[in-house]
Amino acid sequence: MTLRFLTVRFIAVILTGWCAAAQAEITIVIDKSGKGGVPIAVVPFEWRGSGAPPHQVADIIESNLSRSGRFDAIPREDFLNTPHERSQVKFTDWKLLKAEGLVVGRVVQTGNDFQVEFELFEVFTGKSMVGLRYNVRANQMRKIAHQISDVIYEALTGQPGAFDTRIAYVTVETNSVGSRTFYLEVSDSDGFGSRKILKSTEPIMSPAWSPDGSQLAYVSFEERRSKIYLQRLSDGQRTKLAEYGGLNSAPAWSPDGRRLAMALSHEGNPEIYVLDVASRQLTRLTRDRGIDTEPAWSPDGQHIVFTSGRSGRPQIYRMASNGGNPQRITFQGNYNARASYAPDGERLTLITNQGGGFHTAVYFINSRSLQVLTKTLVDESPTFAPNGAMILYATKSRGRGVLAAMSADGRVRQILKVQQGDVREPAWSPLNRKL
Amino acid sequence: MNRVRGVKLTSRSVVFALAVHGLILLLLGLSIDWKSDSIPMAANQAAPVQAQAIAAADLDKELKKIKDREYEKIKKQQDEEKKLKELKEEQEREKKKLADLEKKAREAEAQRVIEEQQRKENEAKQLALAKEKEKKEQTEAEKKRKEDEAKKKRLAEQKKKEEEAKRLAEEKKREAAEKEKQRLAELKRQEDLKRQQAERELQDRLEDERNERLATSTFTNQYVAAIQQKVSSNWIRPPGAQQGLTALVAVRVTPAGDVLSARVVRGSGDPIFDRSVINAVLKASPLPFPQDPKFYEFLREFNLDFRPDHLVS
Repeated sequence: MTLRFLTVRFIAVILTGWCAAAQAEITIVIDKSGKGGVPIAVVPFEWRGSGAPPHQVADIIESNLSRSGRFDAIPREDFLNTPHERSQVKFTDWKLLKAEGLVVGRVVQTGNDFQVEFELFEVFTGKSMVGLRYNVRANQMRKIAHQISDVIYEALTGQPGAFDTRIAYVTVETNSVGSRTFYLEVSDSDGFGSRKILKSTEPIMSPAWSPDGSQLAYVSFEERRSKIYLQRLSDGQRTKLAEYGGLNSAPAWSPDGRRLAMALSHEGNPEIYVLDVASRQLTRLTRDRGIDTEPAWSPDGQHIVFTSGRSGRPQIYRMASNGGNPQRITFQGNYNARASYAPDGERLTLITNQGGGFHTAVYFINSRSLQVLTKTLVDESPTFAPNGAMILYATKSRGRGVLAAMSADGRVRQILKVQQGDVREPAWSPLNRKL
Repeated sequence: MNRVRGVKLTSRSVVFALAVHGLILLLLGLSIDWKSDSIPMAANQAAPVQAQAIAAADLDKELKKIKDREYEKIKKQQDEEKKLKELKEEQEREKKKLADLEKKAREAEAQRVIEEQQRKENEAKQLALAKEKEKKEQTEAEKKRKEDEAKKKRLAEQKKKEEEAKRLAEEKKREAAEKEKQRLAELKRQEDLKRQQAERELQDRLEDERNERLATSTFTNQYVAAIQQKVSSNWIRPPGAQQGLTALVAVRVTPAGDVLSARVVRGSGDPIFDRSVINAVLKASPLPFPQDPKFYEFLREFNLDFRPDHLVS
């Protein structure tokens, strides 16, 4: 953990009477903050059961909190003791480690089920902030660990956590003779617990979660040309949604889940259309000689942003979701593409190239400022977590495509441990319903 | 006052009158003792009867003469008797008159006595009334006099008192003025002294400060900046917090720099932000602190004003 402290600037010290210092009124201004996360100690949970526990709940929690960028987990080797409940906690020990939060808990096996309990303490006040107990089966334990992470995250940040969510992405496996297999996969938000929901020898692209999280729209070339499909996650049932002539690409759900924006080229060059899912009625929104693609809805459904080459280079434009005159909103850099909204509606994440490669960036709509978050060369497909606190994107690591998660301020970045293949085109699900 | 015939009737004169009447009555009784039956009395001085030779004619004449004489005598006697009776009556009348007079006199006297008494009583009464009136008047006069006197006295006293009070007030005023004058004089004297002393002290202090300023600036540069840096480095500003949040924290420390208390005196309104600044101070404990107790006096209590300049820097 490297903390970078900016030079502390001495703003104002008011001294009233150096000699008569009894009631001297001194105010020291603190205008800089440390760049670390909130120090937190997650003590390994006590295990009461036979054999090894199905999952290391504390590890999942610690990893989640660290990855969010909001927390710095205190290394376990520094712990002076390992309490599992309040009566065992010596707060002075944790103060010494400067932990602001302390998580303790245990997992108790009861037949085939497990009882998972935890408690979160505020170290400097000794106050219990939250404590819960769950009864789960083995295959629910990861989910519970994510839920506990969400509870802790919200208690300490005041904002909802988004760990108990899923991500969808495409992996490509290339065998020894060079033939490729494409998979559409869904996993936990930390990249674990993945399962393949589609396999194809032809490319799969642009997975998009329906707002209720029950189905995915994506582009598949399985019939040799691009078509847009819907697939229900619960039973894998698929529906072909768009197979217009030419390019069928970049599906994007409206917030109400009744329409999809997409880029179609059956009327010439790619333009933005909106397709009503129930009626299959198609509405064309753009009419331009340049390429228009990669639409995304604002959270309130009022606007659609998209990538357009009408100015010569790809830039982000915004228009009303029922059409109208698009306005260019990005001007920094010669390439800005693949924009999508944060849940607050005030930020976009996009890929920008300002001469040094394709980086993930955040564009602040109100201030019209662009903040570049990565230094990697070839980022693609950034997507906000449903709480707006993190961004998931694809990038290259040692020539291989990987998924990376980072805090929305770019402070903490972590490559997700997706086991094999070349990974691309991630999409973060909406918030899950609780167990 | 009744007066009878100009004689003043006294009891003595009445007795005298009675005595006179009694004597008269006695003499009359002796001389007219004719009714007694021929008792020869030596005192009977009438001529003696001569009887013998008186002719008839002569007798008659004589007889007649005798008779006439007898008659005369009787008549005379009768007149006498009548006269006596009249006298007696007169006497009686006189007596009665006298008695009346006497009675009247007595009554008059009684009346007079009564009247005299009444008069005396009246006079006494009048006198008493007069006396009483006089007394009353005197009492009232006395009373009035006393009242007047008292009033006068009172007024005099009041006036005296007022004058005394006035005098005292004036005296006090004069004294106060005197005192104030003295006080001001003393004050001025003291102020002059103080000023002189202050001037001296100022000179001394300027001297000292010149010497100390280096130490002070070193101190502020070193320790305040060190405190600032340590707190800053321990402050994890919540990334999700709204921009422009600030919080003022009052800090109390031990001479060793250990944070005794950190209290939000002006919160940001965001509990997460406020918690972050409190945790920053507590985590920064112990603060970098000078050993010199003089510096502790200077820094035992101070404020930390958390005001991040930018979300992204």
